[in-house]
Amino acid sequence: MTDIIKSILAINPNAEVTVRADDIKQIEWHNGTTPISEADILAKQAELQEDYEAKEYQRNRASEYPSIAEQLDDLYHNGIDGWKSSIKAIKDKYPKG
Amino acid sequence: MSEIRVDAIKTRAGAVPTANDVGINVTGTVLQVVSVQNDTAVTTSSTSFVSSSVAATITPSSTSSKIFVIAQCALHQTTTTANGSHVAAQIHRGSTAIGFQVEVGTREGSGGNFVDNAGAGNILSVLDSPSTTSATTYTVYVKSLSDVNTCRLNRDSSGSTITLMEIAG
Repeated sequence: MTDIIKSILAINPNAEVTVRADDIKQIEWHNGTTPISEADILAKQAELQEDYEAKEYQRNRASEYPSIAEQLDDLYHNGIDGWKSSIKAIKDKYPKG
Repeated sequence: MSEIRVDAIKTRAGAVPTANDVGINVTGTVLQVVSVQNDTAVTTSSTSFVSSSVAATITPSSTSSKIFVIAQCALHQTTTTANGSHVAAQIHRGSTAIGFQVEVGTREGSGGNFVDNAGAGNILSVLDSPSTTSATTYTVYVKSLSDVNTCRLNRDSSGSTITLMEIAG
């Protein structure tokens, strides 16, 4: 689950705030920061979590793409079509949601 | 050569005597140790120090005693800035900062992305002279050095330890 403080900073990037034990009931606002309601924080948290989950395919692809050095080697030996084939196999394995 | 043999030595009140009671110079020796582990997460973007749950209390036996404080802090930093950014931790006696702050950070981040820097294992230490025999609490405080950072102590399953040693003065 997305951190509470990340959700707060997504609403107000300059908020000065402390969250204890990741508990929405234990939030302290500092240095004149205007408090944000629990409802707004939870709504932003759900939105960020949804966005994070929607990008799972990107994370999966990124972890399986060969290194740049390996891809250059692939290009050298197999040409652009060979390289595209290697990359496409990973994209097909993890399609966009 | 003389030799003294007794079955027991007691104070007039009947208690077992301390080294001080029998006139032994104990300066520099450790009189007591208090150690506390804590894994409660505290996350802050505050640019002023805020207290954490990493704290320990000791009652010095003498006003001349020194307290050696050492804290191992699971300190992490997250930033959204492309510029260098840091977070800091410092030991406080009560609400008074003592010793130097320790900083964790990056010279450069990745613009637009959260960059996590694990600083677990940061060590804070200070030799304090509280000049009191009252219960005294030492706490690790944390802060961000910029409001685009967040400082997290005890992320996920990590934890911190604070140890107090009373040194005879």
